Amino acid sequence: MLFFSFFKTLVDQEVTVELKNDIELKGTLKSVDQFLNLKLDNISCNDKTKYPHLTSVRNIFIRGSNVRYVYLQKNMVDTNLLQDAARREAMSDKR
Amino acid sequence: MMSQKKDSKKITEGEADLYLDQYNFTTTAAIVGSVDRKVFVLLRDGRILFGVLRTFDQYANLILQYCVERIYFTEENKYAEELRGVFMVRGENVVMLGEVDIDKEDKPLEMMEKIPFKEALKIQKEQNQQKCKLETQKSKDMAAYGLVHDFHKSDMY
Repeated sequence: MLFFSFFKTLVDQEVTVELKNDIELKGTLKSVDQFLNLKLDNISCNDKTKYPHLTSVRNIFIRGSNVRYVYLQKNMVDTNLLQDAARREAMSDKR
Repeated sequence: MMSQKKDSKKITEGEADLYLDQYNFTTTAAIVGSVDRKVFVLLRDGRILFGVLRTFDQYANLILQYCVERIYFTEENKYAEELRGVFMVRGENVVMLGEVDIDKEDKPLEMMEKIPFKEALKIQKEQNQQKCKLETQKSKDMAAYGLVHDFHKSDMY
């Protein structure tokens, strides 16, 4: 659940999502759920030729299972805090 | 009936907030706003469907009404479409779903030539076979370096 919580802290920030088919979608993260499905607002796409209809779409819902990467700005994430939290979660699972 | 009412009153404000907080971050909350609106759905096999979203659940299983399947060949500046009726889509096959602005929707199509759907299917099948060959070769090449290439034959989007 840690990464779900982490993504919740990114809501309303601009992220780029790379799908498993190499398409990149940039937009404002609007919501996340427990499967890491993402909802983006005001999207733009790096490859307009593949999906021409995306110009008429403002917000999209991306199923988490098709996401390869989410690109973030450096200042959006406190890596030390995240590392710490990840370790703490791993420790609590052991017990 | 009375006891139920009493019980529901017992939920404190804090608990209600907690419940609403969780509700905010479910699949349901994400696409509930698109119900009864025109949406496009991209499926894992590469199909692009346009239709009215009637209902869905937490797995993103969808029901689409007045569904149209569309195939684009942007390089050749051609497209094809066919009416499909009602579609029930199993969630695992959904790549993405987006609400379509009906006013702007047809703009990219104005510049394109419409071709018969059957013809488009044939071209698409050939393209998919070619892609499949290419990706399988890539998988082999990468495997030689001990790398994994995430490709499944059903992934044509």
